[in-house]
Parts: sequence; structure tokens; C-alpha cells
Amino acid sequence: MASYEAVIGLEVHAQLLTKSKLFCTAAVENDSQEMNSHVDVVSAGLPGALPLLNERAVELAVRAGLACHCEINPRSRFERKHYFYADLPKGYQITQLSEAICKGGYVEIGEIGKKRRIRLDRIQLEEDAGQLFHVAKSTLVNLNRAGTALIEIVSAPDLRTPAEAKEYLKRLHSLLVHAEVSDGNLEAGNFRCDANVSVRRVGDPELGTRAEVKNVNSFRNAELAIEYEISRQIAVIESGDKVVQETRGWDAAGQKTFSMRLKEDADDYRYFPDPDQPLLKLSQEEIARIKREMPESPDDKAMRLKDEWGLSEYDVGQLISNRAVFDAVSTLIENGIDAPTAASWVITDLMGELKRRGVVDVEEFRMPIVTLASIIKLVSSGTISRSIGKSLLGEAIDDESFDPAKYVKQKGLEQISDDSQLQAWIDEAIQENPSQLEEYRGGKEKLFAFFVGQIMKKSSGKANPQLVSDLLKE
Amino acid sequence: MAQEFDIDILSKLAMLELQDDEKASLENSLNEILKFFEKLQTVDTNSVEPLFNINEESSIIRKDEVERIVTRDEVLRSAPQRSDDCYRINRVVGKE
Amino acid sequence: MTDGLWKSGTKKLLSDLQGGAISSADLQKHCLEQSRLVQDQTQAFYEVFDLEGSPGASSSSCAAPLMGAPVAVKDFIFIKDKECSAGSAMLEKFVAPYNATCVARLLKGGASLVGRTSMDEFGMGSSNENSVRGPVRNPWDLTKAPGGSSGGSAAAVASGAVPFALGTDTGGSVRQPASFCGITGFKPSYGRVSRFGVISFASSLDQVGTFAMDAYGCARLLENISGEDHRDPTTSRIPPFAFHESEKEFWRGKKVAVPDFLVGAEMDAPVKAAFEDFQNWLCSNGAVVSSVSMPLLEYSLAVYYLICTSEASSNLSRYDGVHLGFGGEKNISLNRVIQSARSQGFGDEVKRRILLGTFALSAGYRDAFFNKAAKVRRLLKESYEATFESYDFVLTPTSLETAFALGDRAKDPIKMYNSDICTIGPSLAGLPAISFPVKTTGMPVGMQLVAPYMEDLKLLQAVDNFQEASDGYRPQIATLMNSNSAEVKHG
Repeated sequence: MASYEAVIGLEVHAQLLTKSKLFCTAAVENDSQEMNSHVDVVSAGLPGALPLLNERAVELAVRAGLACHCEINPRSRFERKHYFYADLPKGYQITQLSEAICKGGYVEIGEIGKKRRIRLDRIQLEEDAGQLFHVAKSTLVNLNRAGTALIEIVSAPDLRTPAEAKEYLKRLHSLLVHAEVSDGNLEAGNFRCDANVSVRRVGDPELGTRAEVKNVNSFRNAELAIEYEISRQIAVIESGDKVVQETRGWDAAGQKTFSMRLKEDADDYRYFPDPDQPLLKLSQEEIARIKREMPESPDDKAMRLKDEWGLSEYDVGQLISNRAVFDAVSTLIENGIDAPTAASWVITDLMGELKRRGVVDVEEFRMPIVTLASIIKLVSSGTISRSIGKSLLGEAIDDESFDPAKYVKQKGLEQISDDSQLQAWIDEAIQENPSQLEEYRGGKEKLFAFFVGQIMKKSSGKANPQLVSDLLKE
Repeated sequence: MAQEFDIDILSKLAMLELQDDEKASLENSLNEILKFFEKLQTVDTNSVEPLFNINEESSIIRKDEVERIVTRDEVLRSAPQRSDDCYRINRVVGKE
Repeated sequence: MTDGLWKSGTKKLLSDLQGGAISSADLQKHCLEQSRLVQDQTQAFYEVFDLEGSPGASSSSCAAPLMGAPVAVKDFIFIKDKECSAGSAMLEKFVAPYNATCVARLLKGGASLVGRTSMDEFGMGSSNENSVRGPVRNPWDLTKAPGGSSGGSAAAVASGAVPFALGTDTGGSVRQPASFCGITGFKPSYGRVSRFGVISFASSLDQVGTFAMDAYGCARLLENISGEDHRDPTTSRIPPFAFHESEKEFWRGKKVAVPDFLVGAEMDAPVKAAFEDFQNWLCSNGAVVSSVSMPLLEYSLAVYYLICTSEASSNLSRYDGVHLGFGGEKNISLNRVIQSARSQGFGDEVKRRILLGTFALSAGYRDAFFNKAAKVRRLLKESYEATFESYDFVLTPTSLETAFALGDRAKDPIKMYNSDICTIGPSLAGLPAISFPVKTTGMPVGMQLVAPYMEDLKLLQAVDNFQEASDGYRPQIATLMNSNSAEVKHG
């Protein structure tokens, strides 16, 4: 059987963090329980209402472009894309096409030393459509979301595997969230992905026919959907058929893609420049100002953390890719804990505890970080041993109101640093394990740890390990 | 070179349902009108930028503030079919 | 009363209102009555308001500067909570949800609104025969067209029902009816007046225009509606327009260009005669009139009809039977709802233009048609700019013919389109242009002057000066007879 290569391009729609809509002065409100409560003349498509471009939306789009190393176009244009549908009151969407606000750019994926740049084609500003709800024999139209500001980030078809696609999405998501361009809320639909997937035989320079998988709403689903689609297309080709150019959806329950409609060769959208709007011009000064005002990018942050905080590359990677981790470490640092200690506790111990409890993608810690700070301080002050500290973590996760200091006192978990007590246990351990003692004296250095372990057992973990080591050595 | 157009495709794009006699008459006038545009092809527009707006100065960009111009009722009262606070149509099948 | 009222011009009318010689309450009442009478003869209105329902009408004090002066409004411009039909079945019962900026400003300036005037459907037409409620009749001859698309507004002013009216002008829709009806109609520079609340026909061409018996009236009305509007991104950031009369010797030394395609062009005899007469008047007042080559004007019709239909096909996409307007059939699939609403809601001319525009923008043709037209448009604009480097104004008749008979053009869209030849150029270039009546026998004849971009003041001063100075000119009111055969009155 011939071997195939997948070619994947992704289109991500991210909702911008603006108070009002892209061209309409109605408020943006994701959680509104009411219908059509956030609609005004422009987003309702009423005659005589003209598009009023939102300054903040432009700024955030530029930020996104800067974060992705794009070229910011000093002149860009809005176009009208025409089609009729119930969620589109004007009968056209205002979007961008050939003169989008950001051009080129890239998102880096891959391990250190094996980084790969996934190129972007462009980032464009556009309005979102409304929503339809089906009730009995009716379909109801809610235009609350219509006109909300979106950016569409279009990648080149540089991705080759579902895993890469997932990583690309996570990375892009992180970039946008860090830059405070979008809240990236996947459940709310503020970060949506469409995947264009095709396959070809390895070595074939031609691109295969592609299908578009629309609206995969989580990173995991994107990976699964693309994986499925690749297999499906290969199977189609192997059976002698041709892949059809079409739009497909992802059925999460059935774990497969399904055909939504045939993508006509080009739906004729009759694009033309929106005559209600002049060119959008951006000066170098404005772009520089936007750059100055934007939050630090993950890459810049990584450089800074490595230097300032003296963290390992791995730790820095964790901090960058996981906002919760970053926030937790920052909070610990604010509470007087040094960076490497903070990073170690969060990344190794805390995340470890959560994973042991079955949490796969750690996005929140389920315990107040100040509690963690207390635990760490109890350890670093010598009050308790590190291993006791670790066990306290588990308690804190399971009980919101956990008070470490109180608990330690109650259970008498204080570290034992009393020389005489420790010496007593050491003597005991040596007496009880003569053969190991012989071996150790004979050169088996490793057994040192064995003895430390024995003493820890005797002390129910409360012996001060450092002191034990010191005393043992003598 | 009068361009030939397909009135069925056009009317579908424009969502206009034409009766046969309408079609014939429209087709005729459109063909006539298209001939009338032939002249334009002879104008030399090499390296001329198209003019899409008279005012080519930068947009009057609006600050990101919420302003209400009409009430929900004022928006929905023009809906041909309405169900409480929504526009209503017959249940749609297919595209989500 | 009407004859006396503004026979001496808008200036006198406004100062009489201000000084109290005329009571604005009386004037309002009078205009409402007259409008109803005129309505019977001409169908100029879709609705004449009651006194209680007339926005801005008041028996007590009225704000300056318009002092309660009555204004008729083309049914393309939103008056909050009044119906607005655009002359179409599509918006038959549509109620405007907000005030257009120009209406809000008018009311602030003290105007009272008399009613909504008839128009060609969605602004598409040059005779006001494309209104879904039937044609408007020219008050000078009820068998003739008043021009379009703002035929109702023009007829309302020309018949003496109201001293002022608002219209919209995309390719001549204020100027041409002004010339057919013997009044003054002004199209401002593009971006001078806000389009917020004005139903869009062709966004890059539409402008709100003013009708009055004279340029002075057009100017005073313009003062109250112009200026940057944060709700319309195509308005220009220049200070609002303010009018003051010119010095008496305005025309001395002014240079006027007549495009040479007019030399030897076919035009109705009265138009030709009036055109020559006016040029003579200019010369005798010290202006220099020259024939100038403007070859690109030859392409202006093609450019206009490609651009306006393209933009219109887009702007009219929102009329889909789901979100607003005529609902078509119910209880059918979405596509059928949309198709039936649009097919039943739009008239023939609108459908024709939508199809044309759809074609011009369609994949594969957009470059050869729409884009090409947009490029030639730039050349046209530049050609005017080049002309204005050596000239102050461009002069043409507004139309090469006087008002034609109703029914004459119905089956011949191309002939109808051709009649826009003189007015289209300034629309494409965004320039201010004005049509004003000149002395003639028979049906009215209008001349058109065009000025450089944003020189609206100079243009209005120019015509105001002519209207004050020329002894052959005085505002004319068409006298309507009760019978169908109207007698034409001119002075």
C-alpha cells in the first residue's frame, strides 16, 4: 500500500475582546439569556444604518498580527461577501479578502531544537453571524452575536499531522490569550476552528482535493476530526473513488466526520469593496503605539523568565503554555517564594497530584494558591518535611477550607529535628540492618539512601531528612 | 464583445424567481444594456487605481463604547414573522 | 395665498417668518391643505401628515432659523415612527425606527415636516413612474412626468404646496426633476450630508439633496442638514456649510467650461435656446464661457450604470423576507421565503438593476465590469479636477429634453438611462451640482452648474446671484387646474 501524506490548513475564528461590536454600537454579551437584546440598527441590518468601525477591534487585530510576526498592512480594506441566510440580516458579511489587516506571519510549533514555523497567509477582521434555534416547526433567529468582531487567522497548508494541528491551535490560542486579544473561551464558541484537509501520495507535488471540517470546538476534537478525515480520505482513494470537495461536520458522539453540503466550486460571493467605508489606514506611529501597549508575548515572557527567574526551559515551556500554571507561579512569587521552588511545586507536585486524580488537561488547580504558599513556607522553614508537604497538597485539593498550619499542629506532623531523637533512630536502623551496613561500608554508596529511608519510616516521614543525612554521615 | 450571461444563474444568485415572460424580457434588456458597456473596454486604464469611495481619507473610527439607538421592539417590529423576541421562519434543515 | 407667499423668493419668506409678518402656524396649516389639494392632482405624496402628526409643527414658537417652515421629505429618508416605503411593495408597511440625521437636524433647525413624497422605487428611475403606488404627474402638465426619482418632492415644491423639500440624488434624482418641474434642486458634494437614516441605493453616489423655489432656499435648507456625522463614516470632516450671499459682481471674470460633446448634441429646441440664452447672460455679466474637451464624459453612463447597479444589488440583499419588509409566502422553506419575498416585493426596474449588478460583480466578470468601471471613474474624476484647474464651473443643461409624456419611456430602459447623460458625471466625481430654471416658453428647462469638490458655497452663491440679478427670472409656481388638461404658466 502506498504511503500517504496529509496536508492540513487551519482557519481559526477568534472573538475579539471588545465592549461593542465590530461595526455596531450594540454591546457584546456572550452570556445573555435573552434573545435579540444586544442588537442595534447596524447589526440588525436596518436600512440607512452604516458600518461604524470599532477602534479597539482594529487595535486587537494589529496585536494579533504582531504576536504572530505578521506584516501589518498600512492600508487595508473591507469587502462585502454576499450570500442569503437567516443569520445574516444584511445579506452580506463585511469581511476582508485581498487587502487584509495583517499579512504573512507564522506560529512556531515543536520541541526546542526542532521548532517548525507554520506560516500564516493572513489575519482578517470580520463580523460574526447571528444564531439559529430550532423549536418545533420553527427556526428562530437571535442576532445577539451578529456583528461581533472576529479575527480570522488563516494558515498556509503547512501542517502535516493531527498532533501538529493540535499543537498549532494550542499555541495560537495561547498567543491570543496572552496578548489579551481574545478570551479564547472554547465552550462559548469564542475560538473556533475549521480544518482544510487533503491527502496525497508521498512524493506527489500536487495537492489532493480537500474537504473542510467545520467548527471543531476543542483542541482534542480538532485532532480527532483531522485524524478521522485523513483515514477517511485515504480509504476513499484506495477504493478507487475520488475525494469530494465539500464541507463536513464533526460528530463527537459517533467520532466521525459527516457531509454537510457540497461546497460548490466557488460559492459566488460577489466580493467587492464596501462602498460605505474608506480605506483603513494605519501609520507606523499607531502600529508602534499598539505594540508598546500590548501585553508581553509568550516568547518574550519566556526569555525574561529564564533570565529573571532562572528556570529551566521545560519549566518555562509549562508556564507559557498553561495560563493557570503561570498565574500560580506568579502568585507564589508574590507571596515571597523563590521562582525555582515555586515552579517545582506547581509543575511537579501540584500537577502530579491532579493527574493522580484523573485530570488530563490541567487548566485549574482546585485549591487556593495561597494555601500552597503556606505549605511551601512550612517546608522551607523546616517546620515540616517536603514529603509531608506533598501529602498536604492532596488534602488541600480535596478540601477547600484546608488550613495547613492548623492541620500540621493537630496531627503533630512537625518535622523532627531533635538531634538526640534522630540519633536514636539512626542507631536503631544501623543495628537492625547489619548486612546493609556491611555492604555500604564495602562501597555500595547507594545504600545511604536506604538508611535515610529507614529513618524516615521510623519517624513516619517526619524526620528532617537533611539532618538525618548529616548525622548518618558521622 | 457582448458578454453572454445565464439568467438562471443570476436570478438564483440574486434570489429572484422569474416567470418565463419576465425572464425573456429581462434577458433582452440586459443584453442591450451589456452592449452599451462595451465602450468601456476601449478606455486605457493601465496602472489606474479603481475608485471605490470619493472620500479616501481614513475612516472616522469609533471608540469602543456601547450606544443604544433603538430598542429591541423597534428592531423586531419590522420582522415579517416574529415569535416573542425572535425573528421566525419555518424550520430550517441542513446547514447549521 | 401660495402665489403671493413665495413669489418673491425664499429669502423674503424666511424673513417674513422671522419677523412675524407670516405666522408659522398659518403657514404650516396652509401647506398641509395645499399638499392635500396638490395630492389629488399630482399624486406627489404618499402621505400628508395631520397637523398633530406633523413632526416639528407647533402653534407656539418655532426655532430659528427655519421658523417652522414646512418641508416635504422623500419617502427614502427616515422620519421616526412614520412609514417609509422607498416607493416599493417591499417596504409597504415598514415603519422607520429612528430619525435620519438630516431629519433630526432639520427638526432642530425649526422645520416642520409636511409629509412623505412619492419616488421611483428604491431611487431607480428618471420619471417617477416606477413607484408602486403609481406615477406622479408634473404640475405644469399633468400628462407629463415630473422627472425622478425624487419626482414627488419636486412636484410638491413646484405646485406651491411647500416651500422646501428633501430628496436624494444618486445620478441626477434631485436635479433632473427640478429641471422638469421648473424649480431649483441642489446635490451637495459627496460627504457633505449624512446618509444615516437614508435608505441606500448606491452608497458611493447617494447624497441627500434640497429642493426650493431658488438657490437661496436650497442653501438655507442645506445649512440645517450638513456636517460631519459620527454615524456615517462617509461624511467629510469639514465644518458644516454656512451660506452667505455673494458680492453683486460675482460673475465677472468667472470662467465657465461647456463640455464639447454638447456642441452639436441633439437636444430639444427649447433646451437649446435656453442654453444659449444663459451662456449669453453669463457673458454679458462678465463671465468667460468656453467649450472644453472632456472626452471621458462619453463613458460616464456606462460607468454609472455598472457601479450603481452593482452597489444597489448589494444594498438590496437585506430585503430577504426574513428580517424586514415584505414577508412573501409563509410556511415554506427558507429559500422559498427569500425568493418569493424578493420576487413579489420588487418591481421590474429594480429586478433589472439587481440582475445587472449581480452580473457585474459575479466571479469572472467583476474585473471586466465593476473594476473596470471603477478605474474609468477615477479617470473621470481626474478629468473634472483637471478642468477645474482652469475653470470655476462646468455648465450643461440639466437634461437634453424637457419633461416627456408619462408612459413614453416605460418600455425602453436604455432610452431612460440615456436621459441621465448630463447629470451623471458630477455624481461619479462626488461634485456639487445644481439645477435651476431659466426663462423659456412651454415646459420648464433647467441649467446645471457643477463646481469643484466641497465648493458648495460658491455654487449656491453663483445661482443665487443669477436668480437675484436676472430680470427674466422669478420663482414660478405651476398653476393646477381641476381638469386634466393643465394650463402652463410661466413668467
